Amino acid sequence: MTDNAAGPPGISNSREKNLANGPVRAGGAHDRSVGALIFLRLGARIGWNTWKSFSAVSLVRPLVILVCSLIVVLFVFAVSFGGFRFLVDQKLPLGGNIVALLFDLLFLSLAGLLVFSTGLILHASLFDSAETAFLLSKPVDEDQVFAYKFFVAGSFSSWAFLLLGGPILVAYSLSVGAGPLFYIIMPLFFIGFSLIPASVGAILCLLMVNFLPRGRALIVSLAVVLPIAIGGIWIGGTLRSLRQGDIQMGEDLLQKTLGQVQVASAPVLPSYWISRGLRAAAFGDYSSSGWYLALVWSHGAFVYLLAATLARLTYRRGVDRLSINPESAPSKKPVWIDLLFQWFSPKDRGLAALMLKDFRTFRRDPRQWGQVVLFLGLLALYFSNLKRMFPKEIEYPFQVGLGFLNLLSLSLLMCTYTGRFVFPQLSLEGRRFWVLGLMPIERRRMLMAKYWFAFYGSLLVTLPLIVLSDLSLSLPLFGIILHLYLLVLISSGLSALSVGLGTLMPNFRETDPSKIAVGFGGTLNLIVGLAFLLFMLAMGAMPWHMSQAVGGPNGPPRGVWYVIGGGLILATTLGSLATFLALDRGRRALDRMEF
Amino acid sequence: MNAENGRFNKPGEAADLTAKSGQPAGPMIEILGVSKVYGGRPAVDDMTLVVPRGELFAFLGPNGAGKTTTIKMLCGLLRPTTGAIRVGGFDLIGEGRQARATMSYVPDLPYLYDKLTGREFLQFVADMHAMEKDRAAERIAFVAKLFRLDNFLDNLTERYSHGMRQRTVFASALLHEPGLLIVDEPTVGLDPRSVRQLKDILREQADNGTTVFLSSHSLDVVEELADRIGIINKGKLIGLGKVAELKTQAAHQGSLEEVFLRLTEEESTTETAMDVSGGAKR
Repeated sequence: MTDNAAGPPGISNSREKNLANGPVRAGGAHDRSVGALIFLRLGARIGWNTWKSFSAVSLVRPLVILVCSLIVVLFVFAVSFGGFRFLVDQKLPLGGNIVALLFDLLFLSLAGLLVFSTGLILHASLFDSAETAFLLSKPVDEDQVFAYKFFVAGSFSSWAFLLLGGPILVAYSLSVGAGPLFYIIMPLFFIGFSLIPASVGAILCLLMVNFLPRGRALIVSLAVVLPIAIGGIWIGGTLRSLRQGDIQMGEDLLQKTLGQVQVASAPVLPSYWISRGLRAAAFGDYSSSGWYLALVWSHGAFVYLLAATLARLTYRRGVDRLSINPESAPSKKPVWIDLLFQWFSPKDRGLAALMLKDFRTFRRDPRQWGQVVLFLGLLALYFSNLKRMFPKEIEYPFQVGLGFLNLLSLSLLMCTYTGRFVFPQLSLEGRRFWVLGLMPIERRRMLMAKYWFAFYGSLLVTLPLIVLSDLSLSLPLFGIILHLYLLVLISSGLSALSVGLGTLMPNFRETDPSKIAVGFGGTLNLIVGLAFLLFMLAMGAMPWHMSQAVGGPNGPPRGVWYVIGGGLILATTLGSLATFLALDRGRRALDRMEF
Repeated sequence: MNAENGRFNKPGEAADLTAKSGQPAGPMIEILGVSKVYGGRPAVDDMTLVVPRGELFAFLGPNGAGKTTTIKMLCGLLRPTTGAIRVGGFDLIGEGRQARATMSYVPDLPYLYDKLTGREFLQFVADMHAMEKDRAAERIAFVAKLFRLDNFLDNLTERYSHGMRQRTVFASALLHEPGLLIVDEPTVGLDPRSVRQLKDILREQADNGTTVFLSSHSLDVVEELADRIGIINKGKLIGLGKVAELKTQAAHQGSLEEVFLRLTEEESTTETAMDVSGGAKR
């Protein structure tokens, strides 16, 4: 018995009293719900403590995040401002239909991304989180837990909206000379507008969890593939119609383009309301702007109410349904995709087993590979329709330039892929490292298994895509071989950097890979990876592309080949050094690591 | 369920209320004919169990027997496929918030916010239970002393050891003086002194009128503390009563461990025999 048994507050010594009257409840009556203020305070407190623990260790991390965000904002602002100046120079009115259509398209596509990302984040935080299990065992209403997680998910997914939409609109407002009131109205539009797609994402998430039939993995996969297919058909149709022969350049082309994407300007779409409202505010028409703002907010609030009501009715039911209706057990028989993977794996049995473990973990999580499939699908669509965008006699320099841009976009995709999926892998291994740590396998081989897994994975998706792109552009054979060679080098370097830095800066406390990826180590890895790939492309690819653009397909003069060769030697050296050094540092760190 | 006539009150139907507190009288836990089916197989199979107020009830069973499923249904995290559950007289489906206000649950892997200090976490729990400010401060000071949290209460919980986390979670569970305390494997990872203290506190809580529903594999702890024991195997309650009654049921006068093994073994043997002879499978 503790020394407090004599009569501490709250523990009565009168057994009879308690048994007769029932337990004494300390709190207020629970016939009403605790307010949302608790969750606001919780969020604020967690945010403040996170900031304090960041800044207590070092200001480097928040500074890096701030500087990176600023770079993105400034870059988007500069490009947008330049674009609007170009329109002005071309005597195109900034209040006209073209800019309106561009804004409609921008907000429609951002809304699509918000639906998708909020739905995904909410699914993880509502149905697969220890925190919500804790909250659901407390005397709070389901819609309050939903509201709390909804606003966290919405804030996360709206981050890109702010980083992209903000600078574009500021550039626009400066170009048209908008008044100061515009800058007050703009964030109000942003918040109200974000509510609509985020709520739609939440509703879709709740409906899927509660009402989808069994075989959820298949349906989630379809949910990823179908939007790509529908978007693909639409974009493909648009691009096909722009082929030369169908239409003439000039005004006809413009009218045709406007016609194809006119669906984005349907007045029933919220993207139309925010687009028109912001443009009205930029030109000082505050009464129209206010009307659109009210339209956005009233619909935002209404859709959110629908989502919250649905959560009140179905959230617990969904949690229950997920627990009794889990994914079907994996097949006991060998699966073809595993066999294929093993066929490509190294012959070292231990290494192959480690790689297969990572591959199975990856392929059984649709939330992970769904994102890769989405981006790859869009890129494949773009590459396969590339030629159709241009007249048949597209000039050779443009073909070469586009080839370079496609190589850059694939390298950026690889950088994102390795940063998002490869960097967190060792951190995720930390809590269960005793499994691997006790095996008679050197730690170095574990590191190499992760490297090979990332390297093969990157090559598997990027090599076919670059061939598709280069063939679409009718690039010469040397250009295709050069692209393949550079992608192998870049893939090797990025994989090694992510594995190495992931080992040097692990985060064993975090279990969510997306949060590890956006942490300090993940951010640094992204920056280092970006610098690496830009240097590789500048040294390895730029000289040939420049010479082709200037000299034509007959090839550059003899002297330029020395520059191309020298650049390739530099790129090869850097790619090899990055691979070797990152893996070597990672190996040393892993050997020293204690778990 | 009404303890006297065995009838289960419908949601919203008033249970007998004591004049002083407005709390429904009668048993603290009423589980009536509850089943929970996972993918066509019952994890809990037609369970009926009534636990009165102030009892320390221990729940035993082999791995995968249905203990955690039962506990999750008791907390409102899962819904029964059939049957109904009342806690403190409140129906868990129709009056879930009131029922959850009456209880506290300490899971085997408890959750703490890494970026909150222990004190902030306790305050958050107090807020969720709508405790008055002064009362909350008084109770936080009390449970901090009771569980010896003072030395680390103002540190972020991400720096806590397993034992510190466990003690903080117990402190939060007792903060609002629950009528029902549900604990799942409470002694795992605690040092001997903390285990001793925890046992004392659980016993003391029960003595003061709080119902304690304890799930554990530590048979010595259960034997020492429990007023009554329920043994679950393959979703069915196969034994219920005091230690002596279980010994009679098992026709074995050995330790609780031997009684437990015999009861669960009998169940398995019966089932195996049925399987071999082509009997019906569950």
